[in-house]
Amino acid sequence: MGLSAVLIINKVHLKCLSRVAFALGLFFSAHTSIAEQTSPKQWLGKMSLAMQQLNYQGVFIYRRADDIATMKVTHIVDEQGARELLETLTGEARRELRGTPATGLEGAAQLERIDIYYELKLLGSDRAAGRDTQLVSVSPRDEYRYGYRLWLDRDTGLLLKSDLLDQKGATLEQVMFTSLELLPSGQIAENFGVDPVTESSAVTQVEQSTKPRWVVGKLPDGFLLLNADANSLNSNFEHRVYSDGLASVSVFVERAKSKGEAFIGVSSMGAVSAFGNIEDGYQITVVGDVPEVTVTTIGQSISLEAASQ
Amino acid sequence: MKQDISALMDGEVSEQEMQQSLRDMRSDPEQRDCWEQYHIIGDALRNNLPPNLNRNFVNSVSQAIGKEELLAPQATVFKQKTSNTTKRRHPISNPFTGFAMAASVAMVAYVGVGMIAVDEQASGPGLASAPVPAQIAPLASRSMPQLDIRTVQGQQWNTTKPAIESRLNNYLYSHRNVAGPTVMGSAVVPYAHLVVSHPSDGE
Repeated sequence: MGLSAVLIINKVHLKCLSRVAFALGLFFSAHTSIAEQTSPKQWLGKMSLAMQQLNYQGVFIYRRADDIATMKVTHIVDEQGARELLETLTGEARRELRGTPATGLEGAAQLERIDIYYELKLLGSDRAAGRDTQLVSVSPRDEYRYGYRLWLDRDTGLLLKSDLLDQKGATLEQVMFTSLELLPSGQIAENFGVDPVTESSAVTQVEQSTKPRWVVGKLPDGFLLLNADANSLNSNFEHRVYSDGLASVSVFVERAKSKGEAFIGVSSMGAVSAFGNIEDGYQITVVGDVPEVTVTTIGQSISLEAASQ
Repeated sequence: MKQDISALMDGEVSEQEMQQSLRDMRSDPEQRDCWEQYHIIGDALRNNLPPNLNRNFVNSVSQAIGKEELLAPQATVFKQKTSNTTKRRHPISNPFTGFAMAASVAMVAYVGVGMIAVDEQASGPGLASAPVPAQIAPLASRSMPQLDIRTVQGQQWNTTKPAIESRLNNYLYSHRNVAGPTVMGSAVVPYAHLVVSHPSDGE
Protein backbone atom coordinates (compact mmCIF):
# COMPACT_ATOMS: atom_id res chain seq x y z
CA MET A 1 0.00 0.00 0.00
CA GLY A 2 0.90 2.51 0.02
CA LEU A 3 0.49 5.50 0.64
CA SER A 4 -2.61 5.04 0.65
CA ALA A 5 -3.00 6.94 2.98
CA VAL A 6 -1.45 9.05 4.35
CA LEU A 7 -0.46 9.28 7.22
CA ILE A 8 1.66 9.38 9.53
CA ILE A 9 4.44 10.57 8.85
CA ASN A 10 7.25 10.72 9.87
CA LYS A 11 10.09 10.32 7.99
CA VAL A 12 10.77 13.86 8.13
CA HIS A 13 13.53 15.34 10.06
CA LEU A 14 13.14 18.45 12.00
CA LYS A 15 15.00 20.67 9.64
CA CYS A 16 12.74 19.78 6.85
CA LEU A 17 9.82 20.05 9.18
CA SER A 18 10.53 23.59 10.04
CA ARG A 19 10.94 24.53 6.42
CA VAL A 20 7.76 22.84 5.48
CA ALA A 21 6.00 24.56 8.27
CA PHE A 22 7.31 27.88 7.16
CA ALA A 23 6.44 27.31 3.55
CA LEU A 24 2.95 26.22 4.27
CA GLY A 25 2.31 29.08 6.55
CA LEU A 26 1.87 28.59 10.18
CA PHE A 27 -1.79 29.29 10.01
CA PHE A 28 -2.37 25.60 9.79
CA SER A 29 -2.00 25.44 13.47
CA ALA A 30 -3.43 22.40 15.09
CA HIS A 31 -6.61 23.99 16.21
CA THR A 32 -7.59 26.19 13.38
CA SER A 33 -11.24 26.96 13.09
CA ILE A 34 -11.21 28.12 9.52
CA ALA A 35 -11.95 24.70 8.17
CA GLU A 36 -14.71 25.92 5.92
CA GLN A 37 -12.40 28.16 3.97
CA THR A 38 -9.59 25.70 3.69
CA SER A 39 -8.86 24.44 0.20
CA PRO A 40 -8.25 20.75 -0.49
CA LYS A 41 -4.57 21.46 -1.00
CA GLN A 42 -4.43 23.26 2.29
CA TRP A 43 -6.12 20.32 3.93
CA LEU A 44 -3.38 18.07 2.60
CA GLY A 45 -0.77 20.44 3.94
CA LYS A 46 -2.47 20.50 7.28
CA MET A 47 -2.62 16.74 7.31
CA SER A 48 1.02 16.44 6.41
CA LEU A 49 2.10 18.76 9.18
CA ALA A 50 -0.17 17.14 11.72
CA MET A 51 1.12 13.70 11.00
CA GLN A 52 4.66 14.92 11.32
CA GLN A 53 4.45 17.21 14.27
CA LEU A 54 1.84 15.84 16.62
CA ASN A 55 2.25 13.17 19.23
CA TYR A 56 -0.50 10.66 19.04
CA GLN A 57 -1.48 7.09 19.63
CA GLY A 58 -4.24 5.19 17.97
CA VAL A 59 -5.59 1.84 16.90
CA PHE A 60 -6.49 1.25 13.32
CA ILE A 61 -7.80 -1.47 11.09
CA TYR A 62 -5.98 -2.19 7.89
CA ARG A 63 -7.81 -4.03 5.15
CA ARG A 64 -6.44 -5.29 1.89
CA ALA A 65 -8.66 -7.46 -0.25
CA ASP A 66 -9.78 -10.24 2.06
CA ASP A 67 -7.16 -9.54 4.65
CA ILE A 68 -7.68 -7.58 7.80
CA ALA A 69 -5.26 -6.63 10.52
CA THR A 70 -5.55 -4.42 13.54
CA MET A 71 -2.60 -2.34 14.62
CA LYS A 72 -1.61 0.24 17.14
CA VAL A 73 0.52 3.20 16.18
CA THR A 74 2.35 5.59 18.47
CA HIS A 75 3.93 8.67 16.97
CA ILE A 76 6.35 10.74 18.99
CA VAL A 77 8.20 13.91 18.09
CA ASP A 78 10.92 15.31 20.28
CA GLU A 79 14.35 16.83 19.91
CA GLN A 80 15.56 13.58 18.41
CA GLY A 81 13.12 13.79 15.58
CA ALA A 82 9.98 11.88 14.77
CA ARG A 83 9.60 8.25 15.63
CA GLU A 84 6.79 5.88 15.17
CA LEU A 85 6.04 2.56 16.76
CA LEU A 86 3.71 0.18 15.04
CA GLU A 87 2.44 -2.95 16.76
CA THR A 88 0.18 -5.66 15.48
CA LEU A 89 -2.81 -6.46 17.64
CA THR A 90 -3.94 -9.38 15.57
CA GLY A 91 -2.06 -12.33 14.25
CA GLU A 92 1.62 -12.67 14.71
CA ALA A 93 2.99 -10.25 17.27
CA ARG A 94 5.22 -7.71 15.59
CA ARG A 95 6.66 -4.37 16.53
CA GLU A 96 8.23 -1.95 14.19
CA LEU A 97 10.00 1.19 15.29
CA ARG A 98 10.69 3.77 12.64
CA GLY A 99 13.06 6.66 12.74
CA THR A 100 13.40 9.69 10.59
CA PRO A 101 15.51 8.94 7.57
CA ALA A 102 17.10 11.76 5.68
CA THR A 103 14.88 13.36 3.11
CA GLY A 104 15.10 14.66 -0.38
CA LEU A 105 12.45 16.95 -1.71
CA GLU A 106 10.61 19.02 0.77
CA GLY A 107 6.99 18.40 1.45
CA ALA A 108 5.94 21.92 0.65
CA ALA A 109 7.46 21.78 -2.80
CA GLN A 110 5.72 18.50 -3.44
CA LEU A 111 2.45 19.87 -2.24
CA GLU A 112 2.71 22.71 -4.72
CA ARG A 113 2.90 20.29 -7.62
CA ILE A 114 0.31 17.90 -6.44
CA ASP A 115 -2.72 19.24 -8.24
CA ILE A 116 -0.92 18.99 -11.54
CA TYR A 117 -1.22 15.23 -11.28
CA TYR A 118 -4.25 14.85 -9.07
CA GLU A 119 -7.62 16.50 -8.94
CA LEU A 120 -8.40 17.56 -5.38
CA LYS A 121 -11.90 18.02 -4.05
CA LEU A 122 -13.64 18.53 -0.75
CA LEU A 123 -16.38 15.95 -0.37
CA GLY A 124 -18.10 17.08 2.79
CA SER A 125 -18.18 15.90 6.34
CA ASP A 126 -18.21 12.55 8.01
CA ARG A 127 -17.14 10.97 11.25
CA ALA A 128 -14.28 8.63 12.00
CA ALA A 129 -12.89 7.38 15.29
CA GLY A 130 -15.64 9.36 16.95
CA ARG A 131 -14.39 12.65 15.57
CA ASP A 132 -15.68 15.04 12.94
CA THR A 133 -13.77 14.79 9.72
CA GLN A 134 -13.39 16.57 6.40
CA LEU A 135 -13.55 14.20 3.47
CA VAL A 136 -11.04 14.96 0.71
CA SER A 137 -10.96 13.27 -2.67
CA VAL A 138 -7.67 12.90 -4.52
CA SER A 139 -8.17 11.62 -8.06
CA PRO A 140 -5.31 10.90 -10.44
CA ARG A 141 -5.33 12.76 -13.75
CA ASP A 142 -3.61 9.92 -15.59
CA GLU A 143 -3.18 6.17 -15.41
CA TYR A 144 0.12 6.22 -13.56
CA ARG A 145 -1.17 6.65 -10.03
CA TYR A 146 -3.92 5.63 -7.68
CA GLY A 147 -6.57 7.79 -6.07
CA TYR A 148 -7.34 8.39 -2.43
CA ARG A 149 -10.27 9.27 -0.24
CA LEU A 150 -9.11 10.86 2.97
CA TRP A 151 -10.98 11.51 6.19
CA LEU A 152 -9.13 14.27 8.02
CA ASP A 153 -9.80 15.28 11.57
CA ARG A 154 -11.32 18.74 11.49
CA ASP A 155 -9.44 19.92 14.51
CA THR A 156 -5.99 18.51 13.99
CA GLY A 157 -5.81 17.45 10.36
CA LEU A 158 -4.79 13.93 11.33
CA LEU A 159 -5.79 11.26 8.90
CA LEU A 160 -8.41 9.08 10.53
CA LYS A 161 -9.51 6.99 7.61
CA SER A 162 -8.39 6.45 4.05
CA ASP A 163 -9.30 4.49 0.98
CA LEU A 164 -6.84 3.72 -1.76
CA LEU A 165 -8.69 3.53 -5.05
CA ASP A 166 -7.81 2.03 -8.38
CA GLN A 167 -8.62 3.67 -11.70
CA LYS A 168 -12.14 2.34 -11.65
CA GLY A 169 -12.78 3.68 -8.19
CA ALA A 170 -12.66 0.28 -6.52
CA THR A 171 -11.09 0.23 -3.09
CA LEU A 172 -7.75 -1.55 -2.99
CA GLU A 173 -6.85 -0.89 0.58
CA GLN A 174 -8.36 0.80 3.57
CA VAL A 175 -7.13 2.15 6.83
CA MET A 176 -9.51 3.21 9.54
CA PHE A 177 -8.68 4.40 13.01
CA THR A 178 -11.08 3.17 15.62
CA SER A 179 -9.51 5.36 18.26
CA LEU A 180 -6.93 8.09 18.26
CA GLU A 181 -5.70 10.31 21.02
CA LEU A 182 -3.18 13.08 21.15
CA LEU A 183 -0.35 12.56 23.58
CA PRO A 184 1.06 15.39 25.66
CA SER A 185 4.46 16.28 24.33
CA GLY A 186 7.21 15.06 26.58
CA GLN A 187 5.38 11.87 27.38
CA ILE A 188 7.68 9.36 25.83
CA ALA A 189 6.71 5.76 25.92
CA GLU A 190 9.27 3.32 27.23
CA ASN A 191 9.21 1.61 23.92
CA PHE A 192 10.97 4.51 22.39
CA GLY A 193 14.21 4.11 24.25
CA VAL A 194 15.67 2.10 21.41
CA ASP A 195 17.43 3.67 18.51
CA PRO A 196 15.30 3.57 15.45
CA VAL A 197 16.24 0.65 13.30
CA THR A 198 16.29 2.73 10.20
CA GLU A 199 18.86 5.15 11.42
CA SER A 200 21.68 3.19 9.95
CA SER A 201 20.36 3.49 6.46
CA ALA A 202 22.59 6.28 5.27
CA VAL A 203 21.32 8.09 2.27
CA THR A 204 23.79 9.61 -0.07
CA GLN A 205 23.96 10.83 -3.60
CA VAL A 206 27.42 9.40 -4.08
CA GLU A 207 27.57 6.73 -6.67
CA GLN A 208 30.18 4.10 -6.00
CA SER A 209 32.36 3.03 -8.85
CA THR A 210 31.49 -0.57 -8.16
CA LYS A 211 27.83 0.13 -8.61
CA PRO A 212 26.08 -0.43 -11.85
CA ARG A 213 25.59 2.74 -13.83
CA TRP A 214 22.12 3.02 -15.18
CA VAL A 215 19.58 5.54 -16.34
CA VAL A 216 15.82 5.62 -16.33
CA GLY A 217 14.66 6.52 -19.83
CA LYS A 218 11.02 7.24 -19.10
CA LEU A 219 9.46 8.45 -15.90
CA PRO A 220 5.73 9.19 -15.81
CA ASP A 221 5.07 12.91 -15.40
CA GLY A 222 5.58 14.23 -11.93
CA PHE A 223 7.87 11.51 -10.61
CA LEU A 224 11.12 13.07 -9.44
CA LEU A 225 14.16 11.53 -7.86
CA LEU A 226 13.62 11.68 -4.14
CA ASN A 227 16.86 10.15 -3.05
CA ALA A 228 19.38 7.51 -3.90
CA ASP A 229 20.40 4.94 -1.38
CA ALA A 230 23.95 3.79 -1.92
CA ASN A 231 24.50 1.84 1.23
CA SER A 232 25.82 -1.67 1.45
CA LEU A 233 29.00 -0.66 -0.28
CA ASN A 234 30.17 -4.00 -1.52
CA SER A 235 26.94 -5.38 -2.70
CA ASN A 236 26.80 -3.89 -6.15
CA PHE A 237 23.41 -2.74 -5.20
CA GLU A 238 21.70 0.54 -5.80
CA HIS A 239 18.34 1.89 -4.79
CA ARG A 240 16.68 5.07 -6.02
CA VAL A 241 13.30 6.45 -5.03
CA TYR A 242 11.02 8.54 -7.21
CA SER A 243 7.86 10.28 -6.05
CA ASP A 244 5.13 12.53 -7.35
CA GLY A 245 4.38 13.78 -3.85
CA LEU A 246 1.82 11.14 -3.00
CA ALA A 247 2.93 7.92 -4.58
CA SER A 248 6.50 6.68 -4.60
CA VAL A 249 8.41 4.14 -6.63
CA SER A 250 11.70 2.44 -5.86
CA VAL A 251 14.15 1.18 -8.45
CA PHE A 252 16.65 -1.45 -7.39
CA VAL A 253 19.58 -2.58 -9.49
CA GLU A 254 21.87 -5.30 -8.24
CA ARG A 255 23.85 -8.22 -9.52
CA ALA A 256 21.54 -11.01 -10.51
CA LYS A 257 21.58 -14.05 -8.28
CA SER A 258 20.81 -17.61 -9.14
CA LYS A 259 18.32 -18.36 -11.86
CA GLY A 260 15.74 -19.54 -9.41
CA GLU A 261 15.66 -16.15 -7.80
CA ALA A 262 15.42 -14.12 -10.96
CA PHE A 263 12.32 -11.98 -10.99
CA ILE A 264 11.16 -11.24 -14.49
CA GLY A 265 7.76 -9.85 -15.27
CA VAL A 266 5.11 -8.25 -13.15
CA SER A 267 3.66 -9.03 -9.76
CA SER A 268 1.35 -7.23 -7.41
CA MET A 269 0.04 -7.29 -3.88
CA GLY A 270 -2.85 -5.09 -2.98
CA ALA A 271 -1.89 -1.68 -4.31
CA VAL A 272 1.78 -2.50 -4.57
CA SER A 273 3.09 -3.36 -8.01
CA ALA A 274 6.46 -4.77 -8.96
CA PHE A 275 8.29 -5.15 -12.25
CA GLY A 276 11.42 -7.22 -12.72
CA ASN A 277 13.91 -7.79 -15.48
CA ILE A 278 17.44 -9.12 -15.93
CA GLU A 279 19.84 -7.13 -18.02
CA ASP A 280 23.55 -7.78 -18.48
CA GLY A 281 23.67 -9.85 -15.34
CA TYR A 282 21.82 -7.30 -13.23
CA GLN A 283 18.46 -7.74 -11.62
CA ILE A 284 16.33 -4.67 -12.16
CA THR A 285 13.32 -4.38 -9.89
CA VAL A 286 10.80 -1.57 -9.69
CA VAL A 287 8.44 -1.52 -6.70
CA GLY A 288 5.85 1.03 -5.71
CA ASP A 289 2.37 1.90 -4.57
CA VAL A 290 1.32 2.57 -8.09
CA PRO A 291 -0.52 0.81 -10.91
CA GLU A 292 1.25 -1.87 -12.85
CA VAL A 293 1.68 0.36 -15.87
CA THR A 294 3.86 2.72 -13.86
CA VAL A 295 6.40 0.17 -12.68
CA THR A 296 6.39 -1.44 -16.11
CA THR A 297 6.96 1.86 -17.90
CA ILE A 298 9.83 2.77 -15.63
CA GLY A 299 11.35 -0.70 -15.57
CA GLN A 300 11.34 -1.18 -19.30
CA SER A 301 13.02 2.15 -19.87
CA ILE A 302 16.02 1.42 -17.66
CA SER A 303 19.27 0.93 -19.48
CA LEU A 304 22.60 -0.03 -18.00
CA GLU A 305 25.78 1.72 -18.94
CA ALA A 306 29.17 0.07 -18.89
CA ALA A 307 30.57 0.08 -15.40
CA SER A 308 33.34 2.58 -14.98
CA GLN A 309 35.54 -0.06 -13.48
CA MET B 1 -19.03 -34.85 19.71
CA LYS B 2 -16.61 -33.05 17.43
CA GLN B 3 -15.90 -36.24 15.60
CA ASP B 4 -19.59 -36.69 15.03
CA ILE B 5 -19.90 -33.22 13.64
CA SER B 6 -16.84 -33.65 11.49
CA ALA B 7 -18.22 -36.90 10.12
CA LEU B 8 -21.55 -35.25 9.52
CA MET B 9 -19.92 -32.48 7.54
CA ASP B 10 -18.10 -35.01 5.46
CA GLY B 11 -21.32 -36.85 4.75
CA GLU B 12 -19.93 -39.95 6.36
CA VAL B 13 -22.86 -40.80 8.58
CA SER B 14 -25.97 -42.80 8.14
CA GLU B 15 -29.36 -41.19 7.82
CA GLN B 16 -30.12 -42.20 11.37
CA GLU B 17 -26.90 -40.77 12.74
CA MET B 18 -27.47 -37.58 10.84
CA GLN B 19 -30.90 -37.12 12.37
CA GLN B 20 -29.48 -37.74 15.80
CA SER B 21 -26.68 -35.24 15.25
CA LEU B 22 -29.10 -32.61 14.05
CA ARG B 23 -31.29 -33.19 17.08
CA ASP B 24 -28.25 -32.86 19.31
CA MET B 25 -27.29 -29.63 17.67
CA ARG B 26 -30.74 -28.20 18.05
CA SER B 27 -30.61 -28.75 21.76
CA ASP B 28 -26.97 -27.94 22.35
CA PRO B 29 -25.67 -24.45 21.52
CA GLU B 30 -22.13 -25.66 21.96
CA GLN B 31 -22.56 -28.19 19.19
CA ARG B 32 -24.11 -25.57 16.96
CA ASP B 33 -21.11 -23.30 17.51
CA CYS B 34 -18.83 -26.15 16.71
CA TRP B 35 -20.73 -26.82 13.52
CA GLU B 36 -20.46 -23.17 12.55
CA GLN B 37 -16.78 -22.99 13.33
CA TYR B 38 -16.00 -26.06 11.32
CA HIS B 39 -17.75 -24.59 8.35
CA ILE B 40 -15.95 -21.29 8.56
CA ILE B 41 -12.71 -23.13 8.97
CA GLY B 42 -13.56 -25.14 5.91
CA ASP B 43 -14.09 -21.90 4.07
CA ALA B 44 -10.73 -20.70 5.26
CA LEU B 45 -9.10 -23.85 3.99
CA ARG B 46 -10.69 -23.32 0.65
CA ASN B 47 -9.64 -19.72 0.77
CA ASN B 48 -13.22 -18.69 0.71
CA LEU B 49 -13.47 -16.46 3.72
CA PRO B 50 -15.70 -13.42 3.58
CA PRO B 51 -13.85 -10.12 3.25
CA ASN B 52 -15.02 -8.89 6.59
CA LEU B 53 -14.55 -11.68 8.98
CA ASN B 54 -16.05 -11.17 12.38
CA ARG B 55 -13.28 -10.75 14.89
CA ASN B 56 -15.32 -12.59 17.46
CA PHE B 57 -15.03 -15.59 15.29
CA VAL B 58 -11.29 -15.41 15.24
CA ASN B 59 -11.25 -15.11 18.97
CA SER B 60 -13.48 -18.10 19.30
CA VAL B 61 -11.22 -20.06 17.02
CA SER B 62 -8.26 -19.13 19.13
CA GLN B 63 -10.06 -20.26 22.22
CA ALA B 64 -11.09 -23.42 20.51
CA ILE B 65 -7.51 -24.15 19.67
CA GLY B 66 -6.60 -23.75 23.30
CA LYS B 67 -9.29 -26.17 24.34
CA GLU B 68 -8.29 -28.64 21.71
CA GLU B 69 -4.84 -28.72 23.12
CA LEU B 70 -6.21 -29.83 26.45
CA LEU B 71 -8.47 -32.35 24.86
CA ALA B 72 -5.88 -33.73 22.55
CA PRO B 73 -4.90 -36.84 24.49
CA GLN B 74 -8.50 -37.83 24.97
CA ALA B 75 -9.26 -37.28 21.38
CA THR B 76 -6.38 -39.43 20.37
CA VAL B 77 -7.41 -42.22 22.67
CA PHE B 78 -10.94 -41.98 21.48
CA LYS B 79 -9.83 -42.19 17.93
CA GLN B 80 -7.82 -45.29 18.53
CA LYS B 81 -10.67 -46.92 20.28
CA THR B 82 -13.20 -46.13 17.68
CA SER B 83 -10.97 -47.04 14.83
CA ASN B 84 -11.54 -50.63 15.78
CA THR B 85 -15.23 -50.30 15.65
CA THR B 86 -15.63 -48.11 12.66
CA LYS B 87 -13.52 -47.83 9.55
CA ARG B 88 -15.14 -44.88 7.96
CA ARG B 89 -12.86 -42.23 9.42
CA HIS B 90 -9.48 -42.07 7.83
CA PRO B 91 -6.77 -41.11 10.33
CA ILE B 92 -5.98 -37.94 8.45
CA SER B 93 -9.49 -36.73 8.91
CA ASN B 94 -9.22 -36.96 12.64
CA PRO B 95 -11.18 -33.90 13.65
CA PHE B 96 -8.43 -32.88 16.00
CA THR B 97 -5.90 -32.71 13.25
CA GLY B 98 -8.29 -31.21 10.83
CA PHE B 99 -9.42 -28.58 13.22
CA ALA B 100 -5.96 -27.52 14.15
CA MET B 101 -4.88 -27.29 10.59
CA ALA B 102 -7.95 -25.41 9.56
CA ALA B 103 -7.74 -23.06 12.46
CA SER B 104 -4.18 -22.19 11.69
CA VAL B 105 -5.07 -21.47 8.12
CA ALA B 106 -7.89 -19.31 9.28
CA MET B 107 -5.48 -17.39 11.42
CA VAL B 108 -3.04 -16.97 8.62
CA ALA B 109 -5.71 -15.93 6.21
CA TYR B 110 -7.15 -13.53 8.70
CA VAL B 111 -3.93 -11.84 9.53
CA GLY B 112 -3.41 -10.93 5.99
CA VAL B 113 -1.48 -13.65 4.50
CA GLY B 114 1.42 -11.61 5.45
CA MET B 115 3.65 -13.96 7.29
CA ILE B 116 6.37 -14.86 4.98
CA ALA B 117 8.80 -17.60 5.73
CA VAL B 118 11.94 -16.02 4.42
CA ASP B 119 14.18 -18.19 2.34
CA GLU B 120 17.61 -18.23 3.89
CA GLN B 121 19.17 -17.85 0.47
CA ALA B 122 17.08 -14.97 -0.58
CA SER B 123 18.59 -12.18 1.37
CA GLY B 124 17.32 -8.90 0.13
CA PRO B 125 18.97 -5.68 -0.76
CA GLY B 126 21.00 -4.43 2.11
CA LEU B 127 19.00 -6.37 4.62
CA ALA B 128 20.77 -8.58 7.05
CA SER B 129 17.58 -9.66 8.64
CA ALA B 130 17.26 -12.89 10.49
CA PRO B 131 14.83 -15.10 8.64
CA VAL B 132 11.77 -15.80 10.64
CA PRO B 133 9.49 -18.62 9.69
CA ALA B 134 5.83 -17.94 9.78
CA GLN B 135 4.53 -18.19 13.27
CA ILE B 136 1.20 -19.81 13.52
CA ALA B 137 -0.87 -21.37 16.20
CA PRO B 138 1.17 -23.86 18.19
CA LEU B 139 -0.98 -26.75 17.16
CA ALA B 140 -0.59 -25.88 13.57
CA SER B 141 3.13 -26.39 13.60
CA ARG B 142 2.46 -29.99 14.37
CA SER B 143 -0.20 -30.63 11.88
CA MET B 144 0.30 -28.12 9.12
CA PRO B 145 2.95 -28.83 6.54
CA GLN B 146 5.15 -25.95 5.50
CA LEU B 147 3.90 -26.40 2.00
CA ASP B 148 0.44 -25.37 3.01
CA ILE B 149 1.75 -22.24 4.57
CA ARG B 150 3.42 -21.39 1.33
CA THR B 151 0.23 -21.97 -0.51
CA VAL B 152 -1.61 -19.54 1.62
CA GLN B 153 1.15 -17.02 1.54
CA GLY B 154 1.34 -17.27 -2.19
CA GLN B 155 -1.59 -14.94 -2.34
CA GLN B 156 0.46 -12.11 -1.10
CA TRP B 157 2.47 -11.52 -4.18
CA ASN B 158 0.93 -13.17 -7.13
CA THR B 159 3.96 -15.26 -7.80
CA THR B 160 4.35 -18.90 -6.98
CA LYS B 161 8.03 -18.82 -6.14
CA PRO B 162 8.77 -18.33 -2.45
CA ALA B 163 12.27 -17.08 -3.19
CA ILE B 164 10.91 -14.34 -5.40
CA GLU B 165 8.21 -13.59 -2.93
CA SER B 166 10.61 -13.01 -0.10
CA ARG B 167 12.87 -11.07 -2.40
CA LEU B 168 10.02 -8.77 -3.35
CA ASN B 169 9.16 -8.31 0.28
CA ASN B 170 12.70 -7.30 1.00
CA TYR B 171 12.59 -4.82 -1.83
CA LEU B 172 9.35 -3.46 -0.52
CA TYR B 173 10.86 -3.16 2.90
CA SER B 174 13.80 -1.19 1.56
CA HIS B 175 11.42 0.95 -0.44
CA ARG B 176 9.54 1.88 2.71
CA ASN B 177 12.69 2.53 4.62
CA VAL B 178 14.18 4.94 2.17
CA ALA B 179 11.21 6.55 0.52
CA GLY B 180 11.36 10.05 1.86
CA PRO B 181 8.55 12.25 2.94
CA THR B 182 5.88 12.81 0.43
CA VAL B 183 3.04 15.17 1.04
CA MET B 184 1.35 12.34 2.79
CA GLY B 185 4.43 11.69 4.70
CA SER B 186 5.13 8.14 5.52
CA ALA B 187 1.69 6.78 5.74
CA VAL B 188 0.45 4.37 8.29
CA VAL B 189 -0.69 2.17 5.54
CA PRO B 190 2.68 1.40 4.08
CA TYR B 191 3.91 0.59 7.51
CA ALA B 192 0.85 -1.40 8.28
CA HIS B 193 1.67 -3.42 5.29
CA LEU B 194 5.24 -3.81 6.31
CA VAL B 195 4.50 -4.98 9.72
CA VAL B 196 2.17 -7.55 8.36
CA SER B 197 4.69 -8.82 5.88
CA HIS B 198 7.98 -7.75 7.38
CA PRO B 199 10.62 -10.19 6.22
CA SER B 200 12.53 -10.12 9.45
CA ASP B 201 11.78 -10.32 13.10
CA GLY B 202 10.03 -7.24 14.35
CA GLU B 203 12.36 -6.87 17.29
